[in-house]
Amino acid sequence: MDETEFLNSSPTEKKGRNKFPLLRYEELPEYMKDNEYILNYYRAEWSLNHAFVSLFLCHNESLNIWTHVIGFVAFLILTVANLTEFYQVADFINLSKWVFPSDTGTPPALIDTPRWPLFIFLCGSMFCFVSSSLCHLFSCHSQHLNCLLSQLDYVGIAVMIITSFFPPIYYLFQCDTIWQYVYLTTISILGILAVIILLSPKRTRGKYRFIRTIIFVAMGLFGVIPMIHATIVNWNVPQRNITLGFESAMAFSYLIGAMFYATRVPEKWKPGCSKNTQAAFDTQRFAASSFVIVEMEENINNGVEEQESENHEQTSVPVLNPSIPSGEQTVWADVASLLDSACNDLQDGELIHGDNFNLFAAMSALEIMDPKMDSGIVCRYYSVDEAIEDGAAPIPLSFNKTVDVHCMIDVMDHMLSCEATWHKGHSLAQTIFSCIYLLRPDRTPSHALLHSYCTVIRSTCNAVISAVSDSRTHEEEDLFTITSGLPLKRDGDEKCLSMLNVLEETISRQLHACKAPSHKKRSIEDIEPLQTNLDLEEGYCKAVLCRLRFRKHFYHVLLCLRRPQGRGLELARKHIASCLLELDSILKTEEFLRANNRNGMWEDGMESEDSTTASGCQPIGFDSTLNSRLSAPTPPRAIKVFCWKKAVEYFQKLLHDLDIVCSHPIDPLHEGALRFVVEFQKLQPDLVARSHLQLLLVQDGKLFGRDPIFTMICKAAAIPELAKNLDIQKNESFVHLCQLAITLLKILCTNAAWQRRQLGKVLQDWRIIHMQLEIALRKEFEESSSTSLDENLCMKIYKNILNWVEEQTYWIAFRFLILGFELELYAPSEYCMVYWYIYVILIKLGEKMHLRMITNSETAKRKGKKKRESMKDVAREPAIPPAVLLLQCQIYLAEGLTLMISALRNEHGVFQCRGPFNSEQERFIQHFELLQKACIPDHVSYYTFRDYTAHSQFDTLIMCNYFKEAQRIAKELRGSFVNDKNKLTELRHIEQVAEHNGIALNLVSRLGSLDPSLKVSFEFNHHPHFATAVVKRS
Amino acid sequence: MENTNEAVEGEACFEGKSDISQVKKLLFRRMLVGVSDGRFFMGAFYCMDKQGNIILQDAVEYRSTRRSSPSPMEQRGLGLILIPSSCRISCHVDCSIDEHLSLLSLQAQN
Repeated sequence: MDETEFLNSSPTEKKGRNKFPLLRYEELPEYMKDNEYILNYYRAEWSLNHAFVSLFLCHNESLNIWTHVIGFVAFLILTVANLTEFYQVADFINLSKWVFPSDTGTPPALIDTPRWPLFIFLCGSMFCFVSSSLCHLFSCHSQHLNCLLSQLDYVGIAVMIITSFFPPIYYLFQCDTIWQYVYLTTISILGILAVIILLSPKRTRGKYRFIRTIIFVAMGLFGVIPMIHATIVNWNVPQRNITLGFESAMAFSYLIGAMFYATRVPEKWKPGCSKNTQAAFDTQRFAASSFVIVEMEENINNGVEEQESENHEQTSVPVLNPSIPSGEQTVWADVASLLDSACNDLQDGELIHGDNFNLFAAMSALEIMDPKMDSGIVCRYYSVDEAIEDGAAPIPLSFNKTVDVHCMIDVMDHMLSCEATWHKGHSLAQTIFSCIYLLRPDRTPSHALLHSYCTVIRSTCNAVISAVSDSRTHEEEDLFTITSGLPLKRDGDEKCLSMLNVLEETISRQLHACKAPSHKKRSIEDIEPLQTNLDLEEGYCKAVLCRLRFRKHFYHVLLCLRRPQGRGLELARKHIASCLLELDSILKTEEFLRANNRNGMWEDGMESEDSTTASGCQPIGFDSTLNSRLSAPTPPRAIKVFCWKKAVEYFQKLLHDLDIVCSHPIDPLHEGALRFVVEFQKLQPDLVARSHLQLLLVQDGKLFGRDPIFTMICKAAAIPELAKNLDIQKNESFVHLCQLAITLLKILCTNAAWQRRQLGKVLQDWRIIHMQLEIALRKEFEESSSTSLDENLCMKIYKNILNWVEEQTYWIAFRFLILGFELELYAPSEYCMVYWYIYVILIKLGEKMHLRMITNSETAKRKGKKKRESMKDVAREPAIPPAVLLLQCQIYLAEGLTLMISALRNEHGVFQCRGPFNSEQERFIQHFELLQKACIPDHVSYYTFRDYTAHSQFDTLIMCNYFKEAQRIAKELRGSFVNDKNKLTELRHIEQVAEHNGIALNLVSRLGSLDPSLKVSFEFNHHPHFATAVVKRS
Repeated sequence: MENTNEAVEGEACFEGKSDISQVKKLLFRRMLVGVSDGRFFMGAFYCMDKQGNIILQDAVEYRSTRRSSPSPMEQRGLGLILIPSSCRISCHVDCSIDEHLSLLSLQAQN
């Protein structure tokens, strides 16, 4: 629109033109020729009255005047609002709230901080606007007034610039008053100097425009110094970015304004087009900067207050938190200074304490702020919510889809490492649930991959925890099942498998799509790609896919293993096989992920050996300190998350162990089950595998959930079928026996240390049940005279059962003793007594086993005789069963070792128990107390041991070489155990031990007396619990 | 209130020992101790040594859930704790208003 026409048609304008016409640039008096680009509509030499009236007229200064007046009014409102603490009004200019989203939704609490710097700034701004308005309004009056008003205008600008620095400097350096003074004084002096320069009348003219601008800009730029300083000092303050944003906005608007002013840009480009000119931009600049500044002040105030409170916490007394209530009608009284002065008065070592104070009890106090004792030290974030607000766990992980997928894979890998660490005995809170995404399940649904992965992790954790806590294979102090306060169960978690399937489907379709040749691609373009970089699509698809599939199969494995009566074992084995395959493909993705990491998307923060992820990046969204205090009040445990490779290895071992569990034939033989568990334990399986074995073996108090224990015992003890129909199994002691048998199976599934302790305890129960059964047998015997029919049968049952119980008892005792070797509980000087005890127990065990086997074969033979009446078996009857012969081997070894060590003691004076603290007898009691209490075997004590070993000599020992005997029997036995791999290895080990020991024995007996430098030591390099003698010349 | 004032004045005459006996009076009172990382511990005052380390019985830990000051508090029980004087920042005792005044007057005397 052509404004000239509009102006000319205005009636006021016509009227004004008569007396006070609007002039062109050329018609102006010399002093007013300031801006040659503004061509028209000048007022000149108007009277003061008319100049005032021209406020409501149209000319080339109208807009300048009015914008300044509006600016003044706005600042006036702000001042009044701030004075009356009427925040809603102050807030209504919070235009920039959405530009720089800040987290402080509450009105700024200005009450406690001094507000005079803000008012100085507001007054300075108002002064500037007033002076500028006056200047623009009245400068047309006369040369004198023009000069004066221009000076006033420039002074106003200078004052505004100076005062605008007061609030930021004051608040930012509130904790550092020296700098506050330094900067405020400097800027004030600079301002005064600038005013003096500006006030010299020569410099009001247009040609000094550039110098003026320079002065203003220099003043403005001075502010950069304190801002940089403050930024460095307050770098860790969360509001840093917001404050910086406002500061730069302020600097920017100053510079923009200055640029317009100096270059006179719009009117220079199109002279005469607009009548509202350079000065208008002055105004806009002021308005903009002022608003920004005011807004900044509010925010800085917030920031500074928080900063302040932090700094105060480190330097002085914090404000007492009002939310911690004192008692009724009482207050919290500060006693810090009283305590300090009391401390000064105390003598060294003196304490102030009550009557019941106990220094020992006080030693157990948790020391606050000690990282090894205090689990609640505030490390980085006060709470999960704060961590999330700070962006520690963003969703999506990145707005770049490629980075997002990469980060997601890192999260998956780290989670796997955490899971392995958890299985190895750390708390759930410190491992898997160090993941912030898992802690806030409500946040994840928007990210399908993350959500389904988190869901399946939660479900897996649940399954594992329920298995372990049902089986109770963990020790009392194990943290494994502690889940207090963790969001472990969530509605909809049961759908995790279907969610995984859907995702798997999509991603595998995408994988096919990117593998397919390009002409086919178009047909499947409707599939949304996993990420944006097409070259990497295949690699990422594969990496994500194998990780998801591993999760799916692993969860299936856990579910199948829990099916009753071992029905899911076949399926579980299939899933285990797929799991292992997926683990292999996960390992293969490492190269791809590492290569893409090296591309420079992230810096390589960690060594590859320690890395918990395949790509070697630190994962996003984990903080193990956030909930370490959930395990409170126990001290926090030091934790190091497994590296990724070790985690994968752990899972491979776990899956192999589980595979062995699944491959066990469901065989209702008690002995078979025991042997299987013992063999399985040799693989040193971890908690999860052991608990699943136990759950499989014992379900609902039955073996494999199918066979009642009583039937099992009957089979084991060779009790005739008829007995099952008798009332015997309702007998109290039989019920008790069944329970003991189950407990035994359960105990065998625990770890070695716990197992040994429990076995030692349970021995007494077995002994007691044996006594109870004996009493019952005697009773039965007395009653049997009346009922002669069942007499024979009942007697038989009782005898068999008694024998079986004894055999079990000795077997437990034997296992108890050899676990001591596994746990390295015995000193070499104690080997003698341990092998002697093993020898004594093995003899008893052999006896009972032989007896059972004879009765077994008798029953079998009777059946056979009924059928075939073959006579050939009778001739072979005296042959000893191979299992007993194997025991015989072990007996020889134990006896040989006992005598050899005791001979060494007697003749060479080595391996003697001469500790400063306890005698040999005391050690004997320490080691075998539990066995002695249970009278296993009867009438055995330290004295028996001493008598047995007191006279052993190499001369007599060499005559009947036990090791040779053992070796001979072992060789003969090989044929009997062709099908049993475990037995064969055992035999081979025994043979080796026997051979080496035989040679050593010969050597020592021949040379020992001649060569005193001969040293004998014992090692376990051939057998886990039968030692091999090593002879060395020192 | 007059009685307590008199008692305080009386004890003040035991040169030097008055502070110790004052503190002894605080034993088993509820004490609120602030530590340097912003947490507070409230428990029964049990013991203090020359170095100013404090032992609290049945202590409860309070921590705010956010760094900004007006935020809800979380708490958990800790039992017997020792607060080293190096990390102690504030120390308050739960007492009636009368007592509070007498404490203040005592501090003014010192």
